Amino acid sequence: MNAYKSYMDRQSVSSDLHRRLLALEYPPETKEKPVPWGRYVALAACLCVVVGIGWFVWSMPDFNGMDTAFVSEDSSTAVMEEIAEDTAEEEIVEEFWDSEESAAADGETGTDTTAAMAEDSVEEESATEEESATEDAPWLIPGWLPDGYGLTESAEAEDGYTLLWTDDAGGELTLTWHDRLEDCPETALAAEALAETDWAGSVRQDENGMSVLELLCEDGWLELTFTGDGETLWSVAVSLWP
Amino acid sequence: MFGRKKPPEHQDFEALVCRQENRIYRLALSILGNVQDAEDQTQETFLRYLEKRPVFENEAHESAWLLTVTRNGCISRLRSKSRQNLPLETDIPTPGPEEREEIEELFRLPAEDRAVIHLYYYEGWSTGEIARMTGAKEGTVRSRLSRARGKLRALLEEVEG
Repeated sequence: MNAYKSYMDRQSVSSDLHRRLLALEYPPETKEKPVPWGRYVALAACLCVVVGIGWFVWSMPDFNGMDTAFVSEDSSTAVMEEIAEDTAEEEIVEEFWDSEESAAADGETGTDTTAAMAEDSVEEESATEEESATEDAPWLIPGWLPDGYGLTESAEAEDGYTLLWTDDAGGELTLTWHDRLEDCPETALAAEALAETDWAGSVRQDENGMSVLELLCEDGWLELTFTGDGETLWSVAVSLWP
Repeated sequence: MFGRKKPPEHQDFEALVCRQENRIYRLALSILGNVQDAEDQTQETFLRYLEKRPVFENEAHESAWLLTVTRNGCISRLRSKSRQNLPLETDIPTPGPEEREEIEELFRLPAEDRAVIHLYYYEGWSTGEIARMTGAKEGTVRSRLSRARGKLRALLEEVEG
């Protein structure tokens, strides 16, 4: 192997590559682009239109469910109804708020309506958060992996399995999962590259000497927790698609 | 629910590059057998370092981490090319006349075998250290080394014969 050693001793990075490597730490600043003011003005105008329409629609009696404020045998209220029909939209809105205030003063359910609306908006936000969490859920969250771990690529499934290739400092891992529990291996083993974990599955060596990690999957989500020296090194939620 | 290590302190990147660039490049060249790919992988390794910013206990730990990332990156690169049915072109600097036979035969070995040979003979790693890096068992590394030496010997004998 002396020839190999002397050959490799002569191999070194070019000066161009050396410069590129040093430049990696501080990437070049991007050129400033002119601010597209016209685009922002158009967006602001559209936003104003949308907000205005939304405010108008929200302030309509039927939409608010406040039409009961007009149902009254009181003559003064009847007069107000007549006026409301004949007056402009801004005045109708004022009457709505006035009705709500008087209802609140009388101990009626003005605040209940407000509370119900608040509950609705909270439920809507929760649903949105859940939806976005599901949509945004990746296979694996690379940023949460420990040093030396990362994702390279994935491949399509065969027989219901999907392969996910990783790079890591301790060796290359191939994650597979099974969509039928009876197909899973019986016991969990710890590989040299990994600390003891609390997952159910096994590790085996393939013909290339690579570690293959096989996991049990019961639901759409699986939490992997890797522990070492009695403490949790990292954990990550993995969303597994059949 | 999610545990994460604290970010490491900043290290002198320029000094690290000067210390390790050739070592990384040589390993990449030995595995990939192509100067352009080796340069790309060298860059990729340092990018990974800047992304992860690991804290090293000593220079040996530093070398081990960088070479592990390099080796894994090279293998992934080769697999990707293989899956895309792209040709694996060998394009290495021309060896000297005394080196030619050995170098040419060595680059005919599989990439995984070349990686083990380089780490063992050139970097001076033990089979245990190579096993820890690759995630394989030490016996597997030894048999791969033995097999590579056998192939190399057979190839050289064939040439000489």
